[in-house]
Amino acid sequence: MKSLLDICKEAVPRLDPAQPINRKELHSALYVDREEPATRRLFQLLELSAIRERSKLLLTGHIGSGKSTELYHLKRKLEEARGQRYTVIDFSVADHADLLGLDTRKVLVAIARAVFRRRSERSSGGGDPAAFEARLREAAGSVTEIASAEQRRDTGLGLEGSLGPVKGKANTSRGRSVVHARRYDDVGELRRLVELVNGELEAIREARPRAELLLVIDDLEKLDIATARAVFKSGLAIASIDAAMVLTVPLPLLYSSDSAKLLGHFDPDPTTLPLIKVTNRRGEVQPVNVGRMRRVIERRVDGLERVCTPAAMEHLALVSGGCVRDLIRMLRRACLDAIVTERSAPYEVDDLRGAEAEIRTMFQRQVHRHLRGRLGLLRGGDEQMDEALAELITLAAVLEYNNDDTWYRLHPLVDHLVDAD
Amino acid sequence: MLTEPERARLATSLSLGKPILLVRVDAVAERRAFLGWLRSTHNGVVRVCRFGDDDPLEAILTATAGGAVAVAGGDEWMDADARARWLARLNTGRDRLARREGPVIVLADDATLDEFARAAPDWWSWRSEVLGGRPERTATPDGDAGPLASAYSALRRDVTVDESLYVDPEEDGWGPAFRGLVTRLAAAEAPELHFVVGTPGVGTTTALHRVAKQVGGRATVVNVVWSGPQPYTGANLAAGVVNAGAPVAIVAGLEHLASPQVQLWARDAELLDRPVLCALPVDLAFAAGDRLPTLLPPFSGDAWVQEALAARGLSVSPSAAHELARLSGGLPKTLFRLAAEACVSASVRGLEAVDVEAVEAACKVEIVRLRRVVRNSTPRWLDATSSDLVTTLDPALRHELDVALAQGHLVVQNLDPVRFVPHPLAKRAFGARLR
Repeated sequence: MKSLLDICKEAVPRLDPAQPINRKELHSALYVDREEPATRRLFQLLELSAIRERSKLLLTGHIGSGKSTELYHLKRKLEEARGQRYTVIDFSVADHADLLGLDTRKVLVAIARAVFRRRSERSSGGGDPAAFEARLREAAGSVTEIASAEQRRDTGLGLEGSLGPVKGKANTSRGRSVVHARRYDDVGELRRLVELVNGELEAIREARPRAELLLVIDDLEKLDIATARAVFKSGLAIASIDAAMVLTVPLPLLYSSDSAKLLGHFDPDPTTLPLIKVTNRRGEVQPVNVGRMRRVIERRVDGLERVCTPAAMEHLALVSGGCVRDLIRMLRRACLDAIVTERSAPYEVDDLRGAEAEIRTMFQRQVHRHLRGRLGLLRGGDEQMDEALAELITLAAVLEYNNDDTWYRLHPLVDHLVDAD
Repeated sequence: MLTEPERARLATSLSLGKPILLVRVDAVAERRAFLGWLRSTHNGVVRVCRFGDDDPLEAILTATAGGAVAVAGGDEWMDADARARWLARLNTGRDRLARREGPVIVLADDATLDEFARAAPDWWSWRSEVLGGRPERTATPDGDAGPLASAYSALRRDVTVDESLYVDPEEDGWGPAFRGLVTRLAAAEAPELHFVVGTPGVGTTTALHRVAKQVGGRATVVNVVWSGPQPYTGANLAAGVVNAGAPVAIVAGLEHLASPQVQLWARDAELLDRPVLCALPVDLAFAAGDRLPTLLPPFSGDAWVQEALAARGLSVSPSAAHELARLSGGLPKTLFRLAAEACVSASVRGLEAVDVEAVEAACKVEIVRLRRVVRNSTPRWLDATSSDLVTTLDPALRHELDVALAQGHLVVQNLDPVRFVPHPLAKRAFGARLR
């Protein structure tokens, strides 16, 4: 039987909070189906009608709620369903464009590049990259303004060039940084880009006549709200792309006063991916969901029962607020402590204060004083949505569950911030 | 400073996988001590990269090539606009870090860690652990929109290059030396080597940038730690200067290096083909050899205090400015720390400006902190005479002194004459125990 020391040494590299499950082998080894109603609904929507009707769906959620992981799972499920009828083009905008100073035009350029790349991968006569870039340049203007991070590395283009003619000074908006990008009012330019994307999509359809296409665009939720506004300002152009789409969006954008105007061309019912619901609205433990979190860890820690008692594991799942990434981080810390102290007995609840403290300190750093008052109001029952609450939800200091009836709950480890104030 | 259990955890963590670790270091000397410890305990390659490069993620990824440990830092060199931009870039490009080949350690002060958490939350959420704890805080001023709260934030920010510290050279005590350096470097054609030295916290890097600005386009500030190849041999450090390509090189960053590396640098800098000015930490001033270094003195004068604080949005009464000047011992970093604490006290009493009473309250808070730093009942550096300390070769005592210097407010090193002197706040804290 393996010693606790050996179990922990094996587990630490697998308890990596910076390891997205976006590759086949990782998915097979580590993914646990949360059976989350939100993702089930999204899959059903796509299967039933959205792909066929070329709908544009929006997905949002807390940082660390597992959006990228669930999107990858969704892609695999779709590709395996119905005799591989679906072609899913999933990509991060960050792979094809600099997210700093992003706007509608740059998003369209990123989409064009991703679709072209897929077409090139799938068919031998996929097209000449240089000719494609030339067409892109013709449609969108100087390529130096739209070079992606990868291209900058490849071509040696400087970062200043990639930013293009940025006007205005950087400022901060509710703690996140913003660069006011140049305004592109040239509708003709956007139209040309959409036509280019649609032409590439059509070429894929010609090569696979029965294929139904879905574009999954990740990482737009990382934008600060001002940049997100710049992206969706000409949302009609994005919505004019002739394929079904799932786009991630920053949660505060959904609650902003101009969301109806900005997101009017997209599906009116965005999906919010919550953290795993380890307690219900009344704070009662949900054993099934706690069990799911345990399974996530069991995939990474072979011999979990030797590392911590069931009560200690449940305790960690509860104090994580249902955030898998935080749970992984706490377990990692516990394993490292066990190695350093040559621990031989499983952790009990009371032994895990050090791991908990890491998350508490995170909230101390992250939840600025101007937001703490809002936490107090929420604890007092004020669930009226405003910008402060939206920001707290993004940071997961407030947990939101809105797929049946909407309710909010303070993260179990932020209570002390309210009390301290 | 990391505790022993934290060091053990960090060492284990590095040997098991590719963690992203954040380590709180509040002073340059702490950073240097950490790097020294890491190099002595970690068997693999350690590469330092500047976190504040145009593309911070690419710099980190390059540094981790082949499984090396990438140590990132240096963001304090940026102005607010540049800082906002790279934080955004860090956040939005986070997923590129999945390609890292080795562990990443980010060194940052406490305020910067807070900034990471707020301004780059997606990137922050990928951290494996934050080491170095969080300092105890007494309070922050009430009312986030108020002038004191705004000044408090500005004072808490530890900025290495701080143009608001530029005042008329006639007033800040190093006017003739400053003018002399600028004149020599502006006219220099042949290779020549100059040194500036200053005690930690006196604003040496800011002084270098100020000289560079006055010299004009021919001069460029080069941080050799970030720009030169590694390991830090004298030749590699000199190569960093050559790579920068400036006709006149103003060299910063030597305070990050250990004593033998600085000596190697000083030796090889002699061979450079251009005029060079570099700053040495005062405890390594001997590396200047026969050349007489220019001493960057602590600031003096109440007017300077009022001006520097006004640049951060804080108004102080003349008597409070006088007290702050006296208690800070002429070190800008100490001044700002005290002034920040004074904001809290003024805010509690509903004042919009700082008065003597608020300064006194701040002083008491700092003294409590100093007593926590000096945990031993009688620190050995307090017992020794200052002249003994200068020549001591006792490594344990040197280490205690390094800690005392890094923490600020404890010991100040003077050059002329060469000696350690207790900081005014240390005198207040340990008066009865000082000779």
